[in-house]
Amino acid sequence: MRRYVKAVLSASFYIIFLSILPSLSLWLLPPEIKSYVLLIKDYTGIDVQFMITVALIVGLMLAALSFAKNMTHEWSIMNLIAALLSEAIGFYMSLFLLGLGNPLSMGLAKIPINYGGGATAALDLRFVTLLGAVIMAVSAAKSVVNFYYARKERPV
Amino acid sequence: MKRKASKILSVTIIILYASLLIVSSTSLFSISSTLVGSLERAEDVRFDSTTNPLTGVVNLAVHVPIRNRGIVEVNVKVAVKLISADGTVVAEGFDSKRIGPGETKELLVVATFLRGTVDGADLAFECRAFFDLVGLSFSMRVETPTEGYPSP
Repeated sequence: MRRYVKAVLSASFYIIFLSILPSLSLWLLPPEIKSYVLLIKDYTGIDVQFMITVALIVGLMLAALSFAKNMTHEWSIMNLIAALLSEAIGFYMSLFLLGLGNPLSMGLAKIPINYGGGATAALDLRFVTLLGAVIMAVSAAKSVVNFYYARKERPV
Repeated sequence: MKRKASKILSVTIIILYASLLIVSSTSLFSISSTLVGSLERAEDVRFDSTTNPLTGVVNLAVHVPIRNRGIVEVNVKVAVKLISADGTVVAEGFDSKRIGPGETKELLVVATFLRGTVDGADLAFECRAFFDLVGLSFSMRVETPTEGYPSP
């Protein structure tokens, strides 16, 4: 029962913060502000609606993985796969957000500003991306260590 | 053994997350504050120019005051490239300064060119913080910035 409650709570966290809140905030915006937010795409190429859709999908995937991880035993291969996939998807999401919708930019977001002239803004967050990658690697290592020792100590 | 290894990795993850939070928040706050502080003083940007009537050589000096209202030191760079009608760089000037929190410094960009040769300019502004690891930059092309320097 305790395991089930923990699994539901951790899955709800991802659903609320990545899937529900971003979509709800765009939906609840007054129409005139919403039109400005959607106009950002025309002036900068940043597609807010697409970013919210990706957050919604990633939120649901992370929720499912978190639920699977919490419902399985630490020595189970499913637990390890869910943990590693969560890290990878979480890192993809951070790349996506830091690249303002372009995960391939690896933290260096270039924003063309179309106002009639040729202007470009660039946000360099490559160091933050690197830190994120190190966190993902250490978290994955922790999952593998936990899995390895849990399997060793597993009651036969 | 398992507990020890897992604990070390957990502590490492917490330290890395704290570093990530500190680096991104202090840097982005300082960069955005410097940008806003400088834009508020946009009217203080001064253009000084002298023209030699015999040779037609123009000395242009642009004084850009930058105020750091952030909490960490920032490195600010301003660059100007003057471009002719065929796209070649006629003159360029560049200045950069490290500005501590609460300080105001003036960047001076100097360019020398022949009157009537300039058709546009590439302006670049860059602000970096946290050992220059996090940054924000703007670049734009301006057509005919040298109004008042007509062809002879």
